[in-house]
Amino acid sequence: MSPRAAWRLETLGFSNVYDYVDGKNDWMAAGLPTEGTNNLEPRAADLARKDVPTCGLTEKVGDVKARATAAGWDAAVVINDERVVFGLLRSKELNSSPEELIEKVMRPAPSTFRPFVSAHEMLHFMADHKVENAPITTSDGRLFGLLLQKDVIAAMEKKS
Amino acid sequence: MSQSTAAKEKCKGCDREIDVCEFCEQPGCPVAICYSCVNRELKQTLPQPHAHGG
Repeated sequence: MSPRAAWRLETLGFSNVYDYVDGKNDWMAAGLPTEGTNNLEPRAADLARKDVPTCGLTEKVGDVKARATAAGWDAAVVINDERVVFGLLRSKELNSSPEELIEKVMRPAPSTFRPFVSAHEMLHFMADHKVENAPITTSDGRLFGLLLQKDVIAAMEKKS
Repeated sequence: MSQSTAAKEKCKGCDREIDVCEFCEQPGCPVAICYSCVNRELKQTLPQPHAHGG
């Protein structure tokens, strides 16, 4: 909130007041809870799969593909130790030469989206652009999960 | 001096020339969109509510 509002609340007797310097957008981008009428619509955070396989830059494609396939996935996200997203592997990349290093075949610096984005709007974009999945990250680039188009469609069908 | 030979695309939102669609990153995307427009359309940026510093 505004620092002035925080100070004013303290003069009104509130003692547990914080000034969230990074703002509301950053709060929502971390997937933290919100209130209000907009909260009724499903967001990317509600549907993104947090169990998406991950891997590092120096792993081999064959190893990552085996791990992803065993878990029922045809995608994986390339991250570092801080879970910051470096790349994305969709089926095309996972079907590269098994001996190739991930950093050589990954889609580098993929477009990422924030957890608070409306699932309905993401579906609209994903369908228009024929994208099966999209990485969801916090505003500092850390992996939140992978949003699958089929999950959004299922959620919309369930709702209607 | 080298010159880029990449075909430019136009953002469907603002008509600005872009290298590649910001949403799908696919060359030749028929509904290519720039970084600013995709962020605005997905409401990933909020309009600044105050002219002052808060």
